[in-house]
Amino acid sequence: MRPRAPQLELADIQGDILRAYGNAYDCTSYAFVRIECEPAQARAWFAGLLDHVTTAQPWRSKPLTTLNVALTASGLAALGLSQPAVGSFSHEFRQGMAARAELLGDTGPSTPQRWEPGLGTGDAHVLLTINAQTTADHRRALGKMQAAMRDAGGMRVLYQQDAQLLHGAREHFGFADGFSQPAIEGATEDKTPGGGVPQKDGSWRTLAAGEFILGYPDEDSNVDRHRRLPPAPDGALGRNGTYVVWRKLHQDVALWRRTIEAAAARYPYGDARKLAAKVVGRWQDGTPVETHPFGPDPEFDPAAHGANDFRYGADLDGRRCPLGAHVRRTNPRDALGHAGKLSFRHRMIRRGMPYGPVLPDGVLEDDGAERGLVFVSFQASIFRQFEGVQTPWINDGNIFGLGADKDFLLGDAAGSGKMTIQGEKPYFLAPQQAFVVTRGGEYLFVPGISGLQAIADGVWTRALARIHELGSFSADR
Amino acid sequence: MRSPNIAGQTYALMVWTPIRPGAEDALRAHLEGLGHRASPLAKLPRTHMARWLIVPDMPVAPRTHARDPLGDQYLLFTSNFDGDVDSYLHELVELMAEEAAAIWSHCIGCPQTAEGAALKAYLHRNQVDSGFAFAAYGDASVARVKTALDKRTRLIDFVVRAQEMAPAQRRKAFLKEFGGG
Amino acid sequence: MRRLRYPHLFFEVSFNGSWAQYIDSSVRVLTTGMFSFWSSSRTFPGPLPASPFQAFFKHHEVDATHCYCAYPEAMVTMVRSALALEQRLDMFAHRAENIPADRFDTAWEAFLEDAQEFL
Repeated sequence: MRPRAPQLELADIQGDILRAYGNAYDCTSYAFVRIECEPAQARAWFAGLLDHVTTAQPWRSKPLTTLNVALTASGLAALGLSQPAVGSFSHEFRQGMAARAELLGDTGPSTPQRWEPGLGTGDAHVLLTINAQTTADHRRALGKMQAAMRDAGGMRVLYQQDAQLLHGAREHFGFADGFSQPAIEGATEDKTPGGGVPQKDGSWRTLAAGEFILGYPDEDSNVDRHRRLPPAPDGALGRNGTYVVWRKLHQDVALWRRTIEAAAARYPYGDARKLAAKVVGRWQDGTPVETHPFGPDPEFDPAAHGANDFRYGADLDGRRCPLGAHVRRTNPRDALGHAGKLSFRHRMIRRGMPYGPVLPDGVLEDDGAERGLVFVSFQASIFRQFEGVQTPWINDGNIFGLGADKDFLLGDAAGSGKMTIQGEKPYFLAPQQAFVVTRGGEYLFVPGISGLQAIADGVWTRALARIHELGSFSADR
Repeated sequence: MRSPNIAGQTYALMVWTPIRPGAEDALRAHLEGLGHRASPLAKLPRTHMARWLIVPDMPVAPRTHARDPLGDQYLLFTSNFDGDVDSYLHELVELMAEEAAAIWSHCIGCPQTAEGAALKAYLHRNQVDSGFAFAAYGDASVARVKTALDKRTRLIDFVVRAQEMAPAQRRKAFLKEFGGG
Repeated sequence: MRRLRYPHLFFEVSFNGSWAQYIDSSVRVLTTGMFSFWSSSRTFPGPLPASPFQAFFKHHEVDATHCYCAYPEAMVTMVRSALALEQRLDMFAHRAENIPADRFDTAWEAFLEDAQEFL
């Protein structure tokens, strides 16, 4: 019998985490700000942001723009947090994404040495995410942000990435994206069929809120006699906050199209569209290949209740949805056996946005334009939930019985690893150079509103005579 | 009664030897240095996996009252290999003579001339049985595993290329690559 | 020869992936087994939740100073696949010599259908 979950403090949680802002915001900017002044001066500017930060409270009417604030480990220090306070954050967050490149498969063209200027260097301190309904609103919001920085002095935008919704909520390879999200107890229970944890009787249950927001019981807490909460930064710093993964992923759309076209020439079961669907695990409109292995469902609506209600248990040889298909790798559901016990603690909330102009249909040569996906995920543990998918599930095949095969769609830049499309006549896709290259990224923390206020008020800035190690479990192996 | 160290045709060997007080750092440095060159254990072709660990003491859990110190630091050598332990130890002292002496001479009770039958007897005397040994593919020897892995790699490479071939060409290429059974 | 006051349990394992992920998988999938194996150990916190168990493990862990593996690039599942595949490949290669050219393709496809899960 699961203990009753505590009520989520929506007024204290930042927005766009539990419930997506949705597709009403056409324009998004991610502005990485660098603090180049004394912490006290920076905190004054920081305090000025707080009135505009959007929370998780339900809206009566959608605001024209939204603002959310996240920080890197060096950003916490730049705002004056003491060493022990920063030390209460997770190991991988403090190390930063660039230092963990090897683990994440960010090698070759994706190596941090080749990242866009400023990203992964420790220079990025504060991430301001601005969403706007129209380009005019967007310009205004950016203008306000720049004016506030000018007035405060000592802050500058180190790196800015603009992103915008593509037609049909697709990403650049043409696939509907973002609608498959975890079902969170007390927040997104509507997503339970298909978005929750698969149960033996065919039903689903929600995931504990603490898997995504700190300060609440997570799945482990629910089997703990003492109901201990998961590790989190001290007090108000951590409560109602969560960790963020931000990655700029360049997509070589022309290469993808050419590769699939060429490979489809000899594919015995269909055309390029089908082969692409087999690689991804969904058709372009979002229809799962598991439920519709021959063609997309004309009635499929990704927003419909139960749209994601499917599982892989009856397809353990991968003949419907290939064992190494992208969506099967990133969310195995019940595919790993043991009633989903190996997957349910590796879920992420995803809120990314595409960037760059569309490559027109049928164009097979790269036009040199910058396009791709800004990948954003929220999770209570970067190590378990993001890295726990990236390293063993995307960049390896061991857990799926696929040897060293990587995710054909996203696999790392080493360009090794084939993909088997299982079937009566199995088909093999040859190893490729990367379709997706990492152009930069950061690990961040998005505090609750009280946490933001306490940072602005300089609560954890007391310098201590001795630096002491806080005994939190360090998942750095 | 079957030895608890046996799993399939493999054997799980554990040898605990106390380290001479004062020699711990030198031994650790020596073992760490091995990592930079090819491992001496590669000279023992029957070895699937092996390792040397330095066990500084029995860890004491927090809030435990009774300490249970080891006294000396211990060198633990473990190895999972094919076949019987007696012939393996014989190979170890013969094929890895120099390296074995260099390592175990740091340990208490090691014969002055750390070689041959004397070293073998020392290691055997300090062997500790496993309570339970498990091997995921205990029936396969090192040689067989390596051949199988190589064949798999070559076959994967072949099946991908073979898709582009005309049937007659494919048959010919297959027989050339894998034929002769 | 030293006598320890208490018996001590020594556990050694070689696995693929990070140790934290290995432990996390083990406790959820082998919960009963984990409990019976470790329950006699002092201060064993129980197999679930995973965090205290991981801390227990980490506290008692000793790093290898030098390791060797005869086939370091392979993983258990890959070795098992390779062994299963080898049997099938050897059998097919043996037969292939005598399969007439016009029947080879069918035989090849049948072989692939059977072998795909090991590739």
